Amino acid sequence: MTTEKMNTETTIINSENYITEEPYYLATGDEIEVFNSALAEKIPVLLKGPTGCGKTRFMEYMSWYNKLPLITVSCHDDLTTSDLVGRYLIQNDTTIWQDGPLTTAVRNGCICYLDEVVEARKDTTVVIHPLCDDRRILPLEKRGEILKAAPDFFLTISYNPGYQSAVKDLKPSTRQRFLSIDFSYPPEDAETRIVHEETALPTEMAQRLVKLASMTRNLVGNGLEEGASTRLLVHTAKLINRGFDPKIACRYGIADVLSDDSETLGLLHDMIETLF
Amino acid sequence: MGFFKNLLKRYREPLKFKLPESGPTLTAVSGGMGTTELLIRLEMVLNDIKSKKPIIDHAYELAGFSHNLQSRLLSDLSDISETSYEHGYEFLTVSAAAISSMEQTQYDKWVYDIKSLLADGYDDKASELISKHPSYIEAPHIVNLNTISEKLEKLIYSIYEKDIPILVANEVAKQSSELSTINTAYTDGFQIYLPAKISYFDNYEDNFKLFKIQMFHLLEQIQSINPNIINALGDGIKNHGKHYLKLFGDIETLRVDQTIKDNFPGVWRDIDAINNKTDTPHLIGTFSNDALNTIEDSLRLTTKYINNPPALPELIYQPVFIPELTREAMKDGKASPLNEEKDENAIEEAIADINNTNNEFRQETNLTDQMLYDDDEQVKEQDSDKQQNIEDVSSANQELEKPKAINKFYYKEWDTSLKKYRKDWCQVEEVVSDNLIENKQIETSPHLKHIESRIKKTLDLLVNEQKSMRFQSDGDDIDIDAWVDARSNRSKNADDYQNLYIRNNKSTRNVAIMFAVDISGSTRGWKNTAIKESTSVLCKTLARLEDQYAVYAFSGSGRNNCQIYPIKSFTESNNNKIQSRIFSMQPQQYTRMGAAIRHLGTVLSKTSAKTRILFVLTDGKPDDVDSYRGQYAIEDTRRALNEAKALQLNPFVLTFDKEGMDYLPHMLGSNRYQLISDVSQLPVQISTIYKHLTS
Repeated sequence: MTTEKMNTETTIINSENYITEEPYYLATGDEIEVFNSALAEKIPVLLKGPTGCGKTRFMEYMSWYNKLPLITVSCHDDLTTSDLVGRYLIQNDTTIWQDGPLTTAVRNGCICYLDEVVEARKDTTVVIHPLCDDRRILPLEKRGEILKAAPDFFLTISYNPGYQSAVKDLKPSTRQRFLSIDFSYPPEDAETRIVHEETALPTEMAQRLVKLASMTRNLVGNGLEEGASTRLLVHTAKLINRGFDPKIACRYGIADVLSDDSETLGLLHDMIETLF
Repeated sequence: MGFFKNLLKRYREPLKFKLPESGPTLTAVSGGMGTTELLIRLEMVLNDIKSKKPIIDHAYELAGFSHNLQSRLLSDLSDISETSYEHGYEFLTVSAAAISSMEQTQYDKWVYDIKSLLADGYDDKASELISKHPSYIEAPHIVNLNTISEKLEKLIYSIYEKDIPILVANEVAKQSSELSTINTAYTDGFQIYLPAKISYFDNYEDNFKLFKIQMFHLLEQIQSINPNIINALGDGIKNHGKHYLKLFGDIETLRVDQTIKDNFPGVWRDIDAINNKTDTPHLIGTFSNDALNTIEDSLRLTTKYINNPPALPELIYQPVFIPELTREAMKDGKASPLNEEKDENAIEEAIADINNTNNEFRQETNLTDQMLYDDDEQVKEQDSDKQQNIEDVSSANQELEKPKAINKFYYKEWDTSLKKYRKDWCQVEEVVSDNLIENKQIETSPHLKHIESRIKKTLDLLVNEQKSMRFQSDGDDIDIDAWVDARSNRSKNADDYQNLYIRNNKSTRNVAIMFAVDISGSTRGWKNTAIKESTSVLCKTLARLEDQYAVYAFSGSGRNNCQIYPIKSFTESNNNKIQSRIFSMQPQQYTRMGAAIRHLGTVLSKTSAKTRILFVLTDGKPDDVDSYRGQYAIEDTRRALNEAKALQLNPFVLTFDKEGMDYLPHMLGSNRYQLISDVSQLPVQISTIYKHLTS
């Protein structure tokens, strides 16, 4: 009934997957050395940390640093194995195979970054297991093919332990195939520098923003699910740079983002009033 | 005999007390205590006075109120009578009128003020306040500490990640320190004491700022105080008298102002504004020639200028420095919570020194033992009072039949006035009733069958969602049938040839739901019938979803008698016995919701389901004997629900209480509750909410 066309693997030629400009990244520990060592030893890496603490930026930086293309997949709970590996499509009365992002990375020797991997269904994440040990293979069941990873292929996954629950957890069999780099929020000095470098906000004001963030982080579990991230600080700093009063900017950029609960919002506003 | 004649006569008379036509703000659903029960309870509360004053009239008045209002009035009456039976009686005479005419917050403030006046010994003023209830309106600019203390405590926690309780300043401390009402902010190094209320300025915002500034000053005091300073102050007072402490306090205030200016610019802005309003120049630069950065600098400058003190005005927000309190608190070797990182050895040595000189110091500063009350002691006293109260009520309820207890558990309870958990405070019993009705008695009315079929339709939508979805625009596999159709359609030039895939929506449903059903006395009648019918139909229909579900009912009377009635556990499947248990549910006594939520949350947390829901079905506010009502009960329930959230359970409350909006948003946050006005729709409503919650 159909004629299968076999030559539709995705090849990266001169793609947008290369990071050409150096992204700003301030190392707060030895994460760059650890990542490079893992890359050399071909041990996949797991990045843990709260939202907006710089995991994705770190990956962009490492991709630029090592001059390797980066393929990022934002995982969600509808993500299936086919979405990662690939599927047959129909074109002109015939089926053609379309590589998924993971297969593309394996074939072309890219860094594949599965962002928020716990959001994906557990049966989906199992597909990465043979890639994460010394076999470094990706079985393409539907094609009856076993794809051997290119030498430069490297797998990185990330997740936010703050969301950890019975619903969203990483299986131990997956977890134990990785080196783990813990990304908590940077120390206050480093975070001030990041906000200042990213937005050119004066250091003194950046310090106050960072202090506010650390106050919100202390309230986690006490009305807040998560504290203000570095990313939120950068957003707020940009508003301040645009001429907004810092108190108003903090309200739009931080308080109203973090909570809908009127009592918690009142408290966040009081915190802002304390510092600005 | 006269009493009973009188009682019967009253029963036959028309209701004398009428609620205002505009409708009372505080009234709730009916189902309150009858005149006889009220009379017994009033006699218990008013004790000595009952023989001298007629209370039957008032029992008759109160009988027109809902159970919740009656309970609240009895609780307030009990509190007031503890201080003075006369005032208790005066309160009783006006209570029905007052509670009918006042807004809830206004009533709470009125009662709070009466209690405060009585506690301070102002009996005449308390009588006046009670009698003038129609004209009582607390000015909106007054800030009460009890309304803001939780917020301030969270603010402290957000900065220092430490719990520093904020309590109302002790009256004895006020008197002994000869200070005005505002300047009675002090600390013992572990807790912050602030005035009960501030009304200095004519607007709320400035009075709130004053509270906040005082709190920040005291936090700095807690952070910098150490035993060496206390010892040095002791020496200074011994050598120079009490004005040494006064000068030290003035200088230290300036230092703390500077620290706040550097670290909390927003608070400094408030200080500046307050000083401008009170025409007080801030004198931060007074000691510009001397270093004034640490508390040691303040001490050094005090010694330097003690014989020739500079003119320093007393600032309105200036807290009192009472080193004796810190000395007492540190006696057992604890370091201040914000000061823990300092050298422990040095602190230990200094504490030893403190203990040696303690008595001498106390004589010097003329402080009494009364002002040094131990927080734990306070708790114990209140506990014993509550225990007594419970025993009274328990004896009154002896006639109630007790079902068979199968398990006992102990749970903590949050005391919002003390801001502490009471450990192992509630005894929860899982009880099974032997008086099950027989299966043949369970009627299956056509009405119920109709509801059952409607619910099945709603739940079938969930079942269908689990199947493989065909004709999708993308998916895991090609749908051959779709492709054949598509080719056919294409040859006919039809548009429909895009959706060629099958998406395997593998069963991702993994749900456990706990139905916690309130069967307190107030559910008597049609509500109880609706609850039973809903539960029955749900149990029959939920089985088709393969979700785990359990049904437990709860009620009780007093903290030692919280009862949980297992109807269906997670492991049981629906059968005739379960149905028999459901239709045997009868209204019981009160609603101690916090304990029930903690217990059922624990049961639910043991399941391994991906999505876990704690579904509470109730008809009103949490309410129990032994003062478990009002703010106390709501705050405890709120804590219990937050604990459930922390266990990754999803609490949801469905209530019949029309006044639910007054407290549910606070108790649960948004999207976690629903009010139901038409009880006959309960079964269908539950299934709709169930679908919404689990999909």
